[in-house]
Amino acid sequence: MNIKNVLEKKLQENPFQSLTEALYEILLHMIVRFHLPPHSMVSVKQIADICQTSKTPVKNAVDLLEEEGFVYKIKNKGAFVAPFEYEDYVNGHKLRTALEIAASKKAGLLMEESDFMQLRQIATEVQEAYAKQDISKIYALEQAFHLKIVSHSQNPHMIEAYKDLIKRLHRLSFYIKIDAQIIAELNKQHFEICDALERRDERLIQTAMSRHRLRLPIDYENIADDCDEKMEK
Amino acid sequence: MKRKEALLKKRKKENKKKLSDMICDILIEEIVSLKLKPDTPLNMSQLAEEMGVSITPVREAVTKLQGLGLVNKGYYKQPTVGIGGYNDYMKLHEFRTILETEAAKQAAVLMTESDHIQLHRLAEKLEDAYRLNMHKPKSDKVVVTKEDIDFHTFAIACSQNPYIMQQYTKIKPKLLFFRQFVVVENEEAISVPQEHYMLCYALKTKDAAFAAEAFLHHGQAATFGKNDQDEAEKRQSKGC
Repeated sequence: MNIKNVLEKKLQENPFQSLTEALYEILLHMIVRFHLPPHSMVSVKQIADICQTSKTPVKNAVDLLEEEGFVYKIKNKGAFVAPFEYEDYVNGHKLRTALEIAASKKAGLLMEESDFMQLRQIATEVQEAYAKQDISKIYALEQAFHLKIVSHSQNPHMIEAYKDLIKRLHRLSFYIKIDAQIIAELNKQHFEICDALERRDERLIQTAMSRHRLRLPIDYENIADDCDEKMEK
Repeated sequence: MKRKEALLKKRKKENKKKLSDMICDILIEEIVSLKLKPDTPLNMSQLAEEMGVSITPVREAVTKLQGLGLVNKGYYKQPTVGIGGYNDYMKLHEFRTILETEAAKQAAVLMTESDHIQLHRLAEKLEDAYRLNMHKPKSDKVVVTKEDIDFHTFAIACSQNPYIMQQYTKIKPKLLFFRQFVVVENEEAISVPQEHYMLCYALKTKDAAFAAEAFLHHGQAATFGKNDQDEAEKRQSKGC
């Protein structure tokens, strides 16, 4: 992956984006996609040289990544990519579940007819994306479905925390193994959530959402093994 | 001049911290203690001059405060101290309850004997603070904030979930701010400490569902009442 080319492309697409932001996004992508493996060094000077920029925006981008836990720093040695731990995923997933359940209960009372239509539309698109075997689209649509519900809670604290969490758990998308049975189950649950929201019944919403989140078809042990393997490599 | 002294003190105490973080802490203290009132414009160059620093760390601190929801800042507009009203508090409280309930679930399973002892001590400190208040005349009563926040922060830390801890740290300044508007009643001197002992007990049972229920009940019972809102409005109109 050529950072300089990607940076140039990004700035051409959006000339108003700051260098720090663009570099942050590029580095984040490299970390979550394991182009920069865990514990590898993130050299500010080297990146600045490659991108032909000053060190300040690179440093700021690395600081942002450190704040979000993607990078750790060792004094007088530099910044390194933080490891992705299984425990970390479990903790994030627990909070995500709690937030989604609480938000969907509120959203059920506040959503309108058109919102339900849009939700069903997303759920249908997941099916179509699977037919095309477009895994990244499936993941994006799954996120859009849940973000739409959380956004309707109209609680800015919940929404912000949820977005933050999604960003941090992004590395998980790398490990999701999807087959027809899983997609069918996932989608069935999406429609169940839509039904529960439309009925505006808090208990039903809680049951549907917790079943979807707690029984999300992800094999935890496989993820853990995959993580370990990836890190060893 | 006072700000400069505060910054110097902070620099001596926490010399490894970033300058912008120190400035941010000072401004948070001022906002939370109402020295900087809501809607007060923040003149960054003036702040920089008063603290004897360049404008860059002040700007960074103000951006951080904006992220914490303590400052309103728009394009080409001077930032102002911005704390929402009653609705904002209710949303914050709702979010806090979610965090605490989830943390309690995890803490109930993970807490060690020494954690339980420590939490019980914090509950005792809270009770002492409430008892002190009980004997004061109404005008001298203060809101028991520090002890309450300490108790809940420790309970959250016991969950060992960094995501919950981070989110709680983010909302803490705003929580501290809103607590000042809580009206102190004598009945609280008995009921609130008792509730905290109940929380200690719930966590000690190691029953995650029971602990979560106890924290949920505590959160729902401790909402900011309508009377508190009136009091808050009165105080704001008085400019304090």
